[in-house]
Amino acid sequence: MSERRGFFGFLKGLCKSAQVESKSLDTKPVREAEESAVLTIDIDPAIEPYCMEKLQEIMELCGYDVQVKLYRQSGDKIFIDLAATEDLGRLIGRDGFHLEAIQTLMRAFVFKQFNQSFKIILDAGGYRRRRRNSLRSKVMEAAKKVVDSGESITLDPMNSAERRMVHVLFEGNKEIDSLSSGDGAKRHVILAKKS
Amino acid sequence: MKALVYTIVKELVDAPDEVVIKETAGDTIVILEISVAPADVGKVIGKDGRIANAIRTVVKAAAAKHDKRVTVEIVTD
Repeated sequence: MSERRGFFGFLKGLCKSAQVESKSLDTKPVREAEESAVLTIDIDPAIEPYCMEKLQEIMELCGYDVQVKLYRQSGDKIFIDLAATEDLGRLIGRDGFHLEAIQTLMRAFVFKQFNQSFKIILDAGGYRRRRRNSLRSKVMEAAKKVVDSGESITLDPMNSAERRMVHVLFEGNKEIDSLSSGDGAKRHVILAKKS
Repeated sequence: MKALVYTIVKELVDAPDEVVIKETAGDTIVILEISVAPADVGKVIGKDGRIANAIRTVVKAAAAKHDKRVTVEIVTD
């Protein structure tokens, strides 16, 4: 139970088989209809302004000087950037912990108010991209060590999106296996050499 | 800090009118006690305490900006 590739791995598998299927000649129309139904979820247009307004309110109550900027919306995902100057570090927190907490609350708000699951992705001053890049180089370094020594390496705790990034990185890799282990905030990835 | 916690909590519950935040403030330490309708307690705590911990993280960070230390408790009685 504690060691699995995660829910997204499963989703990815689904998407892949769907792609293959649509290329083949005897594609079943029923399957296609199902897929498009999944892709076009009716998103309440009130969610986006609600998110912006609520975030702005929370930021003001926290006493942060922050500009809430809508970055992009696609499907059931909304990307919001919190542009801050002096409060940026505080807003992100150690290992993005604080940013993650605000994101958790916003998702809970939307689920409660609209009864709709909606992926709000919060960033602050491009932090997430920088973090991904630095994580990626750390992970690749660790992977090299695993290949050289044959011993497994336990990486620092990561959130689900970051763990997914690591799993995707080693998908189909002939030398490395990636496994998630641990619970809650301590959930982490273990890199092991394939036997 | 009280207004911040109130704004967050009332957004999560079915009965926002029953949300009460009690603030006990010392020089540097602030204790915030959240009480909600019995049916709403689970919504404020969340699965494995995810929501409660997120509230604590957000409130603590905001308080730290004003050099305060905050304890957030969810009161059930």
